[in-house]
Amino acid sequence: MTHVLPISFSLNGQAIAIDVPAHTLLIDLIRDRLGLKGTKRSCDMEVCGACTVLLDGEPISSCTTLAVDVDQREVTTIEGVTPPEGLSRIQKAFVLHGGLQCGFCTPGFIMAVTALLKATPHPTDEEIRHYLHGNLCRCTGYTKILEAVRSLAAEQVSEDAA
Amino acid sequence: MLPSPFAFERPSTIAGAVRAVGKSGDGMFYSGGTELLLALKMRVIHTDRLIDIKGIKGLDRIALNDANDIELGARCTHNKIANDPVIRAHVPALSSLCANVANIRIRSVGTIGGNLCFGEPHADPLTMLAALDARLVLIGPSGTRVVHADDFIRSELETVREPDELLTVIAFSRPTGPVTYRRFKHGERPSVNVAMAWSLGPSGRTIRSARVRVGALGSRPQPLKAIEDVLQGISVAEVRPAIEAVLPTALGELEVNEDRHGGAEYKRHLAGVLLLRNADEAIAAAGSA
Amino acid sequence: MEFNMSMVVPATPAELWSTLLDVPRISGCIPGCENVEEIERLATYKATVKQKIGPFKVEVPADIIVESITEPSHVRTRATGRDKITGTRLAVVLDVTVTPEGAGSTFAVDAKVDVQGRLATMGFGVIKRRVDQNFEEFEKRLKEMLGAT
Repeated sequence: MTHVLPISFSLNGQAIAIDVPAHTLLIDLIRDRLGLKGTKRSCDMEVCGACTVLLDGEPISSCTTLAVDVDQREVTTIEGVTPPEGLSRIQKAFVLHGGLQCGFCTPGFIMAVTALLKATPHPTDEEIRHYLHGNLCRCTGYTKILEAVRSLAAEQVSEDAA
Repeated sequence: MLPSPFAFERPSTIAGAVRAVGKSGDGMFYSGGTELLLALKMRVIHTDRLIDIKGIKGLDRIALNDANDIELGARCTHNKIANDPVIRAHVPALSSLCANVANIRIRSVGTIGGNLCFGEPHADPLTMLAALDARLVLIGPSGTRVVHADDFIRSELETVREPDELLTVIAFSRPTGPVTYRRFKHGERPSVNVAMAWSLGPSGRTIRSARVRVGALGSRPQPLKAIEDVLQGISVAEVRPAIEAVLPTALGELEVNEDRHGGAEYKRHLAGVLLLRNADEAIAAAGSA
Repeated sequence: MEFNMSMVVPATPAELWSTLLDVPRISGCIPGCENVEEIERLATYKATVKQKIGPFKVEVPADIIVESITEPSHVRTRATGRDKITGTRLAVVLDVTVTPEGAGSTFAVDAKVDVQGRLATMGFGVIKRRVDQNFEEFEKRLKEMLGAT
C-alpha cells in the first residue's frame, strides 16, 4: 500500500497543491510531475550540486529531499530566478565571464550563488569558495565561475558608491 | 535510485514520535535525512515507517544556561551551529567544525543529532563533543537518560541509542580554555581528526586539565591519556616539549583500522601532526587571552 | 575474505567424524546463522544468515550444499544466498578437516567468504571487520563445543 499525502507549497511564487506518495523525491516531483527540467540529476548523492534548489531561500539537494518535506514551504528553482525574457544579473555574469561550457552544472551554481549573495551581498574570495565548495563543474576548471561571482560581489559596491 | 515505499508520519510531540517508531523499532526518525534518505535511496536500508521529527518544537535551540552549560538542540543544523553567536563566542572551534561539514546543502538541513546517531566513524562532531565531555540526552518510552559522548558509540555505525529513543539535547560545560579541532580536509584521505579542550587555571597560564580525542581511526573517538596526563597542571609555556616527550607512546596506544587510504603507522603519525598543530593554536590562544 | 582456525581436541578423528558431518551443529556455531533445516541428509540444507550493523541489516536465505565428503578426515560445504532487500549476495565455502594429533585430533576450519552487492561495495571495510569478529566468535563456540584445549 503506497502512502499518499497531500502537500501544499509555493513553487517559484506559484501555489501548488498536489498528492504525492511519501517516498517521492523532490527532484522527481519538480522535473517529472511539474515539468520543470532546469534542475538536473547528476551524482544522485548530494555531492555535486547539480540538483540544487532553494527551500525557504536555503540551498538543498533536491535529489535527496522528500517532496513531503516542502509542505508549507517555499521552493525556488532555476526557472524561478530566470526573468521571462533575457537573463538575470547572476546569469549575465556567468555568460560574460565564461563561467559555463556544457551548462549542466550551471543551474545548480546559479541557485547556490543566488542564496550566497542574498545572505552575503559582498562575499570575500574565501567566502565564495567556501560556499560553492559543494558545487562541482567538470568543464570550466572553476576559474571563470569564481571570476563571475567576484564580479557580482564587487558590482553592488560600485552601485553603493555611486 | 528511488527508495522503496514507506509510510510517513509527522508527530508534533516527543512522546508521539517515540510511540510512532514502535516497540519493534520498525520506524526510523529523521530530520534532514542527509544520511538516512541517501541509504534508503540506495536501498541499503529499508524502513516501513519514516518519522519526521521536524514538526516537534523546541529541539533546535542553542543556549547558555544558568548552570554555565551550553545546550544544543539535537535538531540544530550544522549551518545554525556554525553561525550561532553563543557558539561563536564560547566555542568557536565547534562553529568552525560545523561550517566545514560536507557542503552548504547538507549543512542547510543536516543536523548534529542525525550526525551523531548515524555513528559514522569518520564524522567530526562526536570527536569534539567527546573532548568537551558532552552529555547526550535520550528520551524513550521508559523515560530520559543521559549518555556521555565517550560512551555513545557501541561499535562501528552502532550507537547505544535504542531505535525508539530520541536524541533531544547535547549539553557541555562552557569551556574555560582553548578548544581546538583539526582534521584532514574534506575529501582528503585518510580520514583523521583530533580535538583538544583545555581547562585553564585562573591566571590563564596554567592548564588545570586537558581532554584529547582522536577520531576516525577506530569505531569511536579515542582518548590520548598519556597526553592528557602530561598536560595536567603544567604551564602553557611547557606544553610543546611535554607533548613531544610522550607523543610516540600516546600514539602507539591508538587502535587503528587500516584501509586502502593508510596503514596504522601512517594514520598514527597524522594524528600526531594534527595534535601538535592543535597545541600550537591553543598555546597562541592562551597567550593572547 | 579467507579465514583459518585450528584447535587441538581431546577426541580421535573417528570420534569427531560424526561432528564434521553434523551440518546443523557446526552451522549453529556461526554467529547470525539461524533456523538450520535439513533437506536431504548429508547433502542439502537451508538456513537464514542474519547480520545487523547499526541500521544496516541483511537477512540471507542460504542454500547449503555438502560438496564433498572424504572419510574420515574432510568435509567441504558451500552456502549461497541473496538478501532480497539490499540485493547482497553471500557465498561461503567451509572446509573442515580432522587429523590425528597424539591421542587426540587437530580440528581445522578454512573458510572463504564472499560478499557482493551495493552494501558490500560501500562498506567493505566495515563488513570485513564484522566478518573477522564473527569468525573469532565462531572459533570460540567451536572450541567450547568440542572441548578443545
